[in-house]
Amino acid sequence: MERVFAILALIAWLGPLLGRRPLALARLTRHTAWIGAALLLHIGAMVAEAALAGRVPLDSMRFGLGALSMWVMLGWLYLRRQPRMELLEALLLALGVVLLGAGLLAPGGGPPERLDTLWFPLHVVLILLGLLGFAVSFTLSILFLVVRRRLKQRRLRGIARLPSLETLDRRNYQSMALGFVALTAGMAVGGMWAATHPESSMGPDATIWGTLLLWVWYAAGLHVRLVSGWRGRLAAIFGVGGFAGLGVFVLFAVVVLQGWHGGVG
Amino acid sequence: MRLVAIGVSHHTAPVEVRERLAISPGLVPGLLDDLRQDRVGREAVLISTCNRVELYAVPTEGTGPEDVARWLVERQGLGSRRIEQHLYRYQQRDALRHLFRVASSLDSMVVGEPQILGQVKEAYRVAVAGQGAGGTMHRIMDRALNVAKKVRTETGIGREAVSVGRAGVELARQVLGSLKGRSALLVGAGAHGKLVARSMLSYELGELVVANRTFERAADLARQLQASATHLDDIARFLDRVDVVVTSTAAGRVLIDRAMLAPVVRRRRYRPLVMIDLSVPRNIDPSVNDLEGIYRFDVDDLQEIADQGKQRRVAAAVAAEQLVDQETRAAWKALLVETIHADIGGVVKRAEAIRVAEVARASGTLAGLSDKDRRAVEAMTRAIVKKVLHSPLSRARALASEGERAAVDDLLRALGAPELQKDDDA
Repeated sequence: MERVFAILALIAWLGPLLGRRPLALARLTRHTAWIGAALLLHIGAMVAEAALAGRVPLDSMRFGLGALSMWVMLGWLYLRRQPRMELLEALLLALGVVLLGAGLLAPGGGPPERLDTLWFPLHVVLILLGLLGFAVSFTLSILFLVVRRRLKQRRLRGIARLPSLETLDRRNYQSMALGFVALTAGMAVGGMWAATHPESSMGPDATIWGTLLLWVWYAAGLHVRLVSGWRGRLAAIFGVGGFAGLGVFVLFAVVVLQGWHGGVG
Repeated sequence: MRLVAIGVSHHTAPVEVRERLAISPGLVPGLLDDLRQDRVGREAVLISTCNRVELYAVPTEGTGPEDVARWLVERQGLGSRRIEQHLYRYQQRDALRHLFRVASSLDSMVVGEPQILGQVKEAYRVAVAGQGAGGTMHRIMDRALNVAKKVRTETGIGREAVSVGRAGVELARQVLGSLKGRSALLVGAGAHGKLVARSMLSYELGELVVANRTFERAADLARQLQASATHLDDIARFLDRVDVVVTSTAAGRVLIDRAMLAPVVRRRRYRPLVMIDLSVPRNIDPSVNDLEGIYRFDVDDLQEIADQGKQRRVAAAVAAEQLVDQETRAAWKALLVETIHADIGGVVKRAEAIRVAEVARASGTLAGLSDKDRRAVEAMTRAIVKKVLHSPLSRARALASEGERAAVDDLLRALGAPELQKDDDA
C-alpha cells in the first residue's frame, strides 16, 4: 500500500524534473495542483507506512529516507519562489527523487520495543537532520563548482541567473555545519541508547564505522575551512565527496545490510 | 475627466531646446500656481529632467492641449513657433499611456533605467507640496507609480546590466555577492575604469583607493569619487585587503603578474579577489586566473555582459509595452468610472431619503408591529431600493467606462440625480 503511494509520488515528482519542454507538459507538471498532489502522495506513503506499523516507524530505513526526501522537497518548494535559484532547485528536486526511490528499495522497520524511550526517536531524527544538512551542502557544492568553472572559463552567458559564489559558499558552510552538529548529537544519543539497552545486541557494526568515517570527513572539511581559511572550491569538494560517500554507504545498507544497522537497528 | 500631456524629450528635441524649457525644482510650484491663476489647468504635475520636460495637466473647461502648449511656451518666455514644433501633445488615454511609459522607463534614453521612477515621484511630491495636484492627479499618479513598479517586477526590464560600468559591478557581485562595505582598488584613470568605479560606489562600496603613475591625477580623481589616492608603485600593499581591482591605464604593460599575486592569495587565506582589466594592452597577466580565489575579467567580458543585457531588455521592453497598454486601458476605464462616484452617491442618497420618508409616512399603519417586524420592514425596503438601483447604476458605470458621459448624465438625471458634477469628455 505505502509502496503504491510512494511510486505514484515518485512519478509525480519526476514531472517538474522533465524541464521546460514541451511547454504544455511543463506547465502541467509545474502547476500548483500537480505539485500539491505529489506532496499529498508523498505524505500518503508515509502515513500508510505508519498506519500499517501501528506507530511512527522511525526505525524503518524506508520511512527515514522518505522523510529525508520530504524535507528536501520542502526545500525545493521554498526555492521555487526565489530568484536566481533555478539550477539549485533542479538539483534539489533530483536529489529528493533519488532519496524517495532509494526509500522504495529499502527495508521497513524492526521490532517496536526499540521505541520504548525517547532516545531512539531522538537519535533517528538527529541523524536524519544531519543527512539533510549534508544533502543540501552537496547540492550547493555542485552548484558552486558549476558557477566557479563558468566564471573561471569566462563563459558568462546567463551567469546573472545563477546565485553568487559568496552566497553558495556561505550557505554551504551553514548547511555543512548544521549537518555536522546534528550528526554529532545523533551519534552521541545513539551511543547512550545502545549503552542503556545491552539486550539490543548493538555492537560496532558497519553503519557505526561508516558514520564515524563520515564524521571525520566533515570534521576535516570544517576544520580546514576554519583554520587555514580554505573556502570555496575545497569546501565544495568536501561537500560533494562526503555526500557521494554517504550515497555509496546508503546503497550498501539497502542491498547488503538490509537496514541502517544490519537489520538490527 | 480630462488629461493632457505636453512636453519635449530627447526623442523630439535637441538639448538646446530642452534646456530652454527646463525648470528647476524650486520654480515648479510657481509655474503650477500660474497655471491655475491663468485658468489653463486645474491640477498639474511637471517633470523636468535632463532628457525631458513634461507637463501633465487637468485642463479647465474649454482649454485644449494646444492652449496648454502655448501657455507653457509663453510662460517660459520663449519664441513660440520654434519651440512648439518640438512639443508633443497627448490627451486623454494617450496622455495617460505616455505617463505610464515614461514612469516605466520605456521612453527613456536607456530603456529600463531606474532613475526616472524617482524623478516622477519627486515631481509628484513637488506638485503635492505646492498644492498643484488634487484628487484627479492623485489617482493618476498613484496608478502611474504602481504600473511602473509592476513593469519592473513582472518584466525584469531593469535587471540586466546594459553599460560597461554596471557589467563590471554585476561580475563582481557574481563572485562577492554584495559590494556593500567591500573595498576596491582602481588603477589608472581611464574612462572605462571610472565608469566601473562610479557604478560600484552606487552599490554602497565601502572603500575605494585610486592609484596612478601621476599622484596628482590620482588625488584629483579620488576627490571626484570621494576616494583615497596612492601612487602606482604602492598597489602591491593593497592587494592583500581589497576585494576588487580595476585596472584602466595606458601603461602598455603587465602591472600585476602571477608571481606578484601567488603569495597574496595565501595571505588573503583564499578570500576571493575580482580583477577587472580594462586596459589594452592588458595590465593584469591572464594566467592569474588560474590561482585559487582569483577571478579575472577583461573589457570583452564586460562588453559581452552589456550586450546580453541589451538583448534581454529589448525582449523585456516588448512585454512591458503590452503590459502598459493593458494597464492603460484598465486605468482609464477606472478613472472615468471614478468621475461619476459623486453623482452616483447623490442618486443613492436621494433614493434613501425617499425610502425613509415613505417608511415614516406609513408609521401610523405600522404602529402595531413589533420591533423585530419593524426591523424586517426596514431591511426589506432597503433591499428593494438597492435592487432597483443596481441595474441602472451598473449601466451608468459601464457607460462611463466607455467615455459616454452624455448618456451617463441622461441616465443619472432620469434617476433623479440632484445636481451633476461637471466633466468634459473632450
